[in-house]
Amino acid sequence: MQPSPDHDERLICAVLAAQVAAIRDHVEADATVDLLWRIADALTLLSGLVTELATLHVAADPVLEQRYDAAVAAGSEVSQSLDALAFEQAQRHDLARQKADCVVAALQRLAATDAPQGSRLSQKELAAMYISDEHAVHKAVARRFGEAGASVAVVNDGAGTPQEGIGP
Amino acid sequence: MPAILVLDDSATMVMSLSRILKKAGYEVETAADGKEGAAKLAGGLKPTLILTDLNMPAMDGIAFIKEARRNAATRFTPIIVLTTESGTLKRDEARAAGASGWLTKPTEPAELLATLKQLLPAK
Repeated sequence: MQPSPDHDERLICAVLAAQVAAIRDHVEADATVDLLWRIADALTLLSGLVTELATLHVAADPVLEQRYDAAVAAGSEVSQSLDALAFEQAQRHDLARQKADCVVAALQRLAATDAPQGSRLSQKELAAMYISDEHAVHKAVARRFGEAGASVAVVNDGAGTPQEGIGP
Repeated sequence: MPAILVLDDSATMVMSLSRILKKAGYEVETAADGKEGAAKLAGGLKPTLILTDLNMPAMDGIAFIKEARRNAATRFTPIIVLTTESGTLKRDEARAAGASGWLTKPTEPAELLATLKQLLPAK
């Protein structure tokens, strides 16, 4: 017996949910942040070592003292920049993870077998899962489908800032 | 030394925030979600400031803020929301729950520390 088109669609959604979940897990397992922290820590360690050595040798040599000052300042600046970069990277990972979570949840709803076709996920329910700029993406896609006026409304928050919202 | 309670379900975010705050001279306590954060407050933890994410399992940031405001020890403790949420509706919801400040990810360490400084009680 041939599987029904509905069964095929649900299976495809389940597969896509698993694929996106795998991409999310890859993002989470990325070692960049950890590596940046380790480099920053190594630089701090080296700066400390240079300072200890300098107390023994620098005072007698003005040229060496100048080079020591420049090295310690550069080390400190790079270490701070690495920490800032690691922080930014951690936040971007977090954002990517949450966006992927939203897609996984939506696809899992579409793959659910206990709801009749067409009632598994509405645009409004999908929009309720958004955490950031997905509203803008939703609006752009709805426009391509010629649904902008019917399904995506601009909600004014009262402070003059238009905010994307999904209409009924 | 001011103690800051950090709540985020991302272990990398918690570690990253802890590094920045410790390097700036703060003591840091952490929790993986609102439920763990609320349990720490109920257990007697009295942070000088709370930094919380919004989207967390078990208990989300809004529910945690309401819980913290019900606790006499943290009724007036500054609470900063640090979140990927950029919508003004969520921001209003957080403010109504009792949040004192709002930062949208990604933010920079300097902006985070400046916001903390603004909200921390003067010594």
